[in-house]
Amino acid sequence: MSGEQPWIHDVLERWEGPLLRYTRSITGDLETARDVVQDAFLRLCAQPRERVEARVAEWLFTVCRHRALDLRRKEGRMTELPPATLAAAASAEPAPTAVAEGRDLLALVDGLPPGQAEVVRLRFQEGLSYKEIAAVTGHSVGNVGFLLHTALKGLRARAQATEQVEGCAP
Amino acid sequence: MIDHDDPRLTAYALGELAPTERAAFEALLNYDPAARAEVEAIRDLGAALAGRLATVERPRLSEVQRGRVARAAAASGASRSPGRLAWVAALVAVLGASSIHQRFRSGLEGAFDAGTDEIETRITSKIGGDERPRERYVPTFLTEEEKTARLLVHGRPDDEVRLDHFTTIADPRSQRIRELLDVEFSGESRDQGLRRNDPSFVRLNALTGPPTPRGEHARANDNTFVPAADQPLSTFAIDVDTASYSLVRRHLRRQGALPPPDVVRIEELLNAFVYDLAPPTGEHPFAAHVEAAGCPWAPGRRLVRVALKGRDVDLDRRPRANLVFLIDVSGSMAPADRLPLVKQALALLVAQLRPDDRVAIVVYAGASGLVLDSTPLSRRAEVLAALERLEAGGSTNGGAGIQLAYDVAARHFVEGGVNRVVLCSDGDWNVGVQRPADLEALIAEKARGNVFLTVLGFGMGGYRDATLERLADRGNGHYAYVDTLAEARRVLVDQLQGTLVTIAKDVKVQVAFDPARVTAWRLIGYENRLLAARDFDDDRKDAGELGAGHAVTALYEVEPAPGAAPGPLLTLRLRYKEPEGQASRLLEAAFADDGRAFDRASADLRFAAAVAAFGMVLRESPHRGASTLALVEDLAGGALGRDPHGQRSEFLDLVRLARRGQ
Repeated sequence: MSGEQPWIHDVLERWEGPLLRYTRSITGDLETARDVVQDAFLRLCAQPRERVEARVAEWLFTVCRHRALDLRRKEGRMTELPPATLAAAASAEPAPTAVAEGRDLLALVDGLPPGQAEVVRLRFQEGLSYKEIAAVTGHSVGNVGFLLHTALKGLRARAQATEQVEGCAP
Repeated sequence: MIDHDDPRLTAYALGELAPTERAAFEALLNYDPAARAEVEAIRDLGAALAGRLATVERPRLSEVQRGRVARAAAASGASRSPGRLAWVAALVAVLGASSIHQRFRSGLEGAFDAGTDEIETRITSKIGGDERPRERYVPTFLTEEEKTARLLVHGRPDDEVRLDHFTTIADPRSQRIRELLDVEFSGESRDQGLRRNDPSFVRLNALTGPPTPRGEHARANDNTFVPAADQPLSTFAIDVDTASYSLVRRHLRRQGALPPPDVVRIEELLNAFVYDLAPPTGEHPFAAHVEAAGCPWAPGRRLVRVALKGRDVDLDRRPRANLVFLIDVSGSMAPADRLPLVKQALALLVAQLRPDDRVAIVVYAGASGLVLDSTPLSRRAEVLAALERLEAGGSTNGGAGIQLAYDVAARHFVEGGVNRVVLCSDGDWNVGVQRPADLEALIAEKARGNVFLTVLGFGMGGYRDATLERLADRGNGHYAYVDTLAEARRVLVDQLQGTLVTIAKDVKVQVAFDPARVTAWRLIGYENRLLAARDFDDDRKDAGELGAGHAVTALYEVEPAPGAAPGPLLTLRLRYKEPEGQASRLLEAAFADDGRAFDRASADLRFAAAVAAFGMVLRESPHRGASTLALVEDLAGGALGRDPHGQRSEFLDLVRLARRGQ
């Protein structure tokens, strides 16, 4: 039989980095993220190609997300991604560190409620569409739109707030 | 003016609006310079974000890991046949195995969503000196040898890992799974493969695979036309379920596709909407309304609407209710028979509450949160909207959630009223911070203070969870397991109505058509609620319950007798029992058709016609006549009425979605 499946190699090349980067944002450490991403690819190998290829990124992110969340839950770290409703209701206040670090967008993203930060990463870091993000996170497409809109609004407000603080300095 | 909180601004800026929506939105933008500036700002920020986030390092797998993937990719080309097995296996450690079933499932939901159906083996090992079980995943498409190797690779010298035997979890659905298991792990290869690891002990539990969709919507064929000369009587039990509408909505919204015909039950679509019906004024607990008009999808036929409107119970009839829904929204609640069912079930309950009752919603998962503070049911739409928005996706921490729920209940305590926390969970309390004993003590104490606890278990595959049951005991409450909407109705409508109110039970409808004026008639929907004509007068035959304020709508399509002038058309008979009664009471009224055209019918009849036509199109009913989605949109658009809850415009949106999905 054909030993190699170049398509998986291509997929690995394309998505290994993004998946690790994203998964690490959930697990908090790279080694666990590596385990999760490795397993996702091993599972991918068991899939009929025709069934997953068209939406392979969606598939991989979904598998990694659930696995990572599951692991984190078991490790007892209770900083689970809350449901969207909670995320939206949660902190409108920027995390103190985000303010301290000024206008660094990265810090501002980290300061968002986790549900919002996640969709921002999936969209702007990994380039997933609303539909793909919805499939990965289990939110509805409408909810993804809402979370992103709220997140961007929040980011702008915070960026402006820090700007003003700086501007006010005598 | 476009509200700057409108998410379409961002969706538009990011090119995520569908073409038609995009065009419509652009038309709005043309007149709104502020919104255009907003779009620009969003684009700028998006670009800046993408630029900044791209600078984050992209890590790589280790060489060993990459090698493993490469080997698996190569091996899969040679040996994998698509979708060969659909089951899940778990290696469970000596420690921490108790709730592995639930935890395991919650971890896999997404994978199944993504369309996988392979086997997976999980190994949990207790690491010496560390009480926390450590878990590793072993895809079972690996050979036994590879699995063993994998186990050893991930194990540590001081791990306490032992191998034992395979067991399957008894589950009616798992017959095939067990067969597959037997094939996969039969004989010596299994034993040898695992014994190699002696002195290890691991139990392998084969769990059922992806939960099979529960919606076995046995397709009842549409009612057909019945010649009135042969059978003038139409008899059915009322039905106040609305689940089908939620399902249709979910299909259209989530999947952007038309729902399978089988999930569409027209009576449930009809009854999902609020109509402007006068409540009863006399001695009977409900009022009946009949109206007839031309049938919009079948020229020459008449469309007859029969509607019952239950009495709103007067304030003296029962104490006010102060309910707090405490809902588990952890990841394991995602399947259709859990959180989505919780939402439907509680919506059923909410529909029965009075405007002066209060409902609060507390969710618990990774964090507990008050999703909806105690809200009077005069703002029912808010409560329903808050329910509808709930999504699964966190972990479970029952302890803190319960404390919060009780706090909310206490803040809105109704002296002498119904004060109750309604807990809905799949029993997955895997990260409770509170010891069970503390939890029980808390619940018992609150019960003494007259805040009771009702526990509803969902999606646990049928086994009773001792924790939930004990909690309910302590809370002076009851524990029920809800696996279907029918069960939810039984529990929340029939049983919880012990504290809330049923105004009539065993309600039956019988329509006697006048054969001199009617050639044939057809009841639209209610296929699974039909009764034999003789059952109408048989008080031993159960039928549907009507709660306070409930309404029921049924439509008939009638072929008038040739040359029949407007006039007496039918006699409506209704039977019901008082909630505590044994003998039924009969209501009877004759109805004459005034021959009015469809355009002259009430907005309620016209809207109901739109809903029925929608249902017929979705069901691909042979009786849909000239019904099309375009017709539905026309009919609904012209019959929005006051639409206080926005239900009808939502329906209109769904119809448009359906037209796009067609």
